[in-house]
Amino acid sequence: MRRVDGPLPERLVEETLARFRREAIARGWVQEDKADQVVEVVREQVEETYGIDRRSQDT
Amino acid sequence: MASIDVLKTRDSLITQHLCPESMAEPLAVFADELLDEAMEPLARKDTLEALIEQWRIERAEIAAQQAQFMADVRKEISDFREENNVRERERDERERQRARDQEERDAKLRGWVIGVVGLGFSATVLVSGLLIAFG
Repeated sequence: MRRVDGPLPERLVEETLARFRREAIARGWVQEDKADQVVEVVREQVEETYGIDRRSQDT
Repeated sequence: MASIDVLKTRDSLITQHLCPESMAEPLAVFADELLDEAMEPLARKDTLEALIEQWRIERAEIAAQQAQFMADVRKEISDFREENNVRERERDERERQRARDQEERDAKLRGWVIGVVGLGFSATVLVSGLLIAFG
């Protein structure tokens, strides 16, 4: 695991997940109707691994 | 370097039937790569902060070592001065003792000289008296 202390800024996580969603659909790896659920699985992993700082606006 | 648990993510995707099994791992790896890329500046920031903290600790240690060194130097100078003062006091005492001894020797010599001269004078007077009386 990458060594980053503390929770990740929410904006960074959301922008990365949005990019993941967009590119995964574009590559045909995810069906659009299931994309939100796939993103949710990844978000849960991020939350579990690092936590998400919902107050921070830093990227 | 992994940012999230790829195998766990893959298993979750498969369990929830969100994509074909063959696509689950590439998807998880792709998510991991994107997160890794996004976290790079944060990792650099953390590394930099760790380096700065390490530098602060080392600077504090160096300052403490310098302070200890200066304290040791001051102590050594103080000890040297004290030893020097003791040596000077001992040397002065020896010189005073030598002067006293010399003075005693001079006084004894003066006593002997005065005694001998006095005795000579007395003998001369005695002999002169006897010569006048019987001569």
